[in-house]
Amino acid sequence: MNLFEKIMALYPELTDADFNPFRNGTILLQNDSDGTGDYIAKWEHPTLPRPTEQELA
Amino acid sequence: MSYIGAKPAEQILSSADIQDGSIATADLADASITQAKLASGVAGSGPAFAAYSSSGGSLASATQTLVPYNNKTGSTAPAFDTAGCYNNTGSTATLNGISTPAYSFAPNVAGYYLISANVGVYYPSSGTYVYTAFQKNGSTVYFNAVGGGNGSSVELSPTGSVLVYMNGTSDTFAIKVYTNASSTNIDTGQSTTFSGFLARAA
Repeated sequence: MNLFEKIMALYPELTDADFNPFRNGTILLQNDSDGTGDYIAKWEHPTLPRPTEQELA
Repeated sequence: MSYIGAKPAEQILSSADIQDGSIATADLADASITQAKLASGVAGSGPAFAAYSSSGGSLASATQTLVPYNNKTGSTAPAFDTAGCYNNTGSTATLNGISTPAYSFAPNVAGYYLISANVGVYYPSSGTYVYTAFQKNGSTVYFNAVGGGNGSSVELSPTGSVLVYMNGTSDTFAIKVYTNASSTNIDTGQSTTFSGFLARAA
């Protein structure tokens, strides 16, 4: 399961709009193509807390 | 005509009085060469590069991904780097004294650059979309999007260009891709290219 899929499993109420950086999404997932993988670059959701490392493990 | 000492003020200087190849840069006033004085076929010599992705890679849904245009010397698509201003590696490098992030262009001449790119993504399912973000110093200055995938045979390849000022000392430029589709990949070769050149000096 990738990072996005893990987050969606935790918070199934999230939609495309929450993640879309071009439509003011409050959550930004990023991959810098440097081998370190996907990561949460920004979490500014108004109601859902940023998942912990344990929740995403 | 030859003179002992300086030319008398009343003598008009002609081209015959000027030794071939003797006019140096220091002899020309700044901004003294006009467009009309340039011979046909004369183009600028600022930085120019072209690269394509020969690595591709998987693309996670809802994850803004730096496009790995890793090949600037191959032959599948135009590939060159006239001034060593493009970092085609996955880690930060110092090019011409400029700290240049992975897969980024950092021109060392101030001016206005035409940056172009496309990103092939296969095969996004029906109803999904693919965006590309043209980012200067990590901030999006232009983006575009396409939709219309069918999940099996239609590759989406957003394509665009932007004319942008780069300061020649620290500004860098990169391309990122984003999709809401799952199980897609960045294509390689001619559908995933990145290029730029100096269109006008500062």
